[in-house]
Amino acid sequence: MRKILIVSGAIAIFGICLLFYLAKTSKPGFVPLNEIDSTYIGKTISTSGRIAFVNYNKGNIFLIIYDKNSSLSVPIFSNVAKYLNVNLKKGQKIVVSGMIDEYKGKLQIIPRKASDIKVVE
Amino acid sequence: MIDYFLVIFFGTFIGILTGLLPGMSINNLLPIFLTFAFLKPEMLAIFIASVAVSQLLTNFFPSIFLGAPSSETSISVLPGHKLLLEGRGYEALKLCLSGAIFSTVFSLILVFILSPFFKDFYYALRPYVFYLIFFVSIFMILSEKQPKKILFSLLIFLLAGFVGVVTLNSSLSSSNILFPMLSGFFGLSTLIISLKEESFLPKQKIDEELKIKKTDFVKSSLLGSIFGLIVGFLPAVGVSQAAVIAQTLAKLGDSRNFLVTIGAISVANEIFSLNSLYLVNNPRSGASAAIQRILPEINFQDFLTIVASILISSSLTTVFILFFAKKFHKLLLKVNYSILNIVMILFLSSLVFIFTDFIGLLTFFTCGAIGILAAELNVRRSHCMGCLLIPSMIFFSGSTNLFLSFLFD
Repeated sequence: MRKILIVSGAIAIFGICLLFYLAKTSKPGFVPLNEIDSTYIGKTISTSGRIAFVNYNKGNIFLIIYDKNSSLSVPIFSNVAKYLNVNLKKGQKIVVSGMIDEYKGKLQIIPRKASDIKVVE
Repeated sequence: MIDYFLVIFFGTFIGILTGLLPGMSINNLLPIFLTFAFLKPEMLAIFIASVAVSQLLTNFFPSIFLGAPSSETSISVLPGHKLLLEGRGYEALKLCLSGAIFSTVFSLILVFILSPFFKDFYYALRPYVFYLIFFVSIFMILSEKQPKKILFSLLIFLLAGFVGVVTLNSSLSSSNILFPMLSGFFGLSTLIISLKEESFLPKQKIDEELKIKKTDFVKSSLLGSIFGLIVGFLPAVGVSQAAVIAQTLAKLGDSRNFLVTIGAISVANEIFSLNSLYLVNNPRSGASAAIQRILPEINFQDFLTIVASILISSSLTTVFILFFAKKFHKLLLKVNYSILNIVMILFLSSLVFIFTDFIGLLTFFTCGAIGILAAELNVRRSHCMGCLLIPSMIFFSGSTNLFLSFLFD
């Protein structure tokens, strides 16, 4: 087997393992609410805002958070909501991490686990 | 009126300067542009549009002549480099730019005709994008024909896909991460393979002849324009994925057809992104998001002004870049090609580190190694596009969070 094949294969495997480890252990980068746009769709980020609207529905929790002139939907689905040990209320400031997606033309951030939502004020 | 032209000229100049530097995305410059309070809002919008278009077109130059692509032009490295080593680098550049210019006109016509239907089309198409990408990926892998090669290409596709998911969807994702990833797969691997094979740069033929049939040229440009518009309003699908889909569906095996298609897709995508605010009331790129901040209520007149600035800027850039390439190739021949490749590897590595830090550098070398692995296994390096196709497939299947939970939680 050619030397370059072995070397490139070894670097690829080592690099992938290291990237995976870093992805597993690092925290998402913080993006201010007013800077989130459609170029972030599919990316995992962290942002913060004050709760403007809360709706509890069949185990799911739907929030709208705002900061200055920007707002963002935060759907917390029942598989995550059931592990939340805080009562989310209008006016609370939260930091939320998750993937940015688009629903009916509006951007939203979808947390993956209960620890992705933190009440800070 | 003259002030509008001056702003377009200035924007084009900045776009050309920054376009020659791979990795320098307009997104890095937008925070600076947004402080240009001396420009009226509509002038700042056309300035940003001019920079975006001229930067995009200029990017083809380092991509083809130096093997140093930006994330938008990365897929043009392979066919571009092939023609460069045949002494047809200028033709490769001209094919990309001709496809782009044709696409400018054709995309604008398409935008005017189809603008009332874009929103409906978007919602109608979205549920089927997963199937489209899935079948294109299967078709792309099976096109290797021999069972051993199919297996190797599947391995490369999956390895690249895993890197894509880990870097694009996880906590490691950043706005510039596409640059090290695609530069690694297509730029770094090309430069290292050239070094290993001790390739030399033959004398470049500078003639205006394009060795492509007129019908093929028109077909590739039209196809590129249509695909560029489609991906322009689909989130999580970019120029590179569109190029692979178009190449696979239309069987654009020939390098020249592919280069025309890439040029056309890039510009059509940029035109739609810049006008997405007016067309679907939703920004689709960093530049259009910046324009939304400057012009929150964009009207038909603003839309036409942006369109005019795109036309002027793309024409000026094409003329300049072709002129520059004619002069530059002589300089290129005086340099030892192996030394040039080493300098480009160091230059790209430095840019990657500056723009994306240690994570970017790790991604760059990992992807470069996968690109070389593909070449050594004798399968097409375009299978590395799994890095974008797999995350897109997961996204459109609606299971990204499930997948990420499985991987990282």
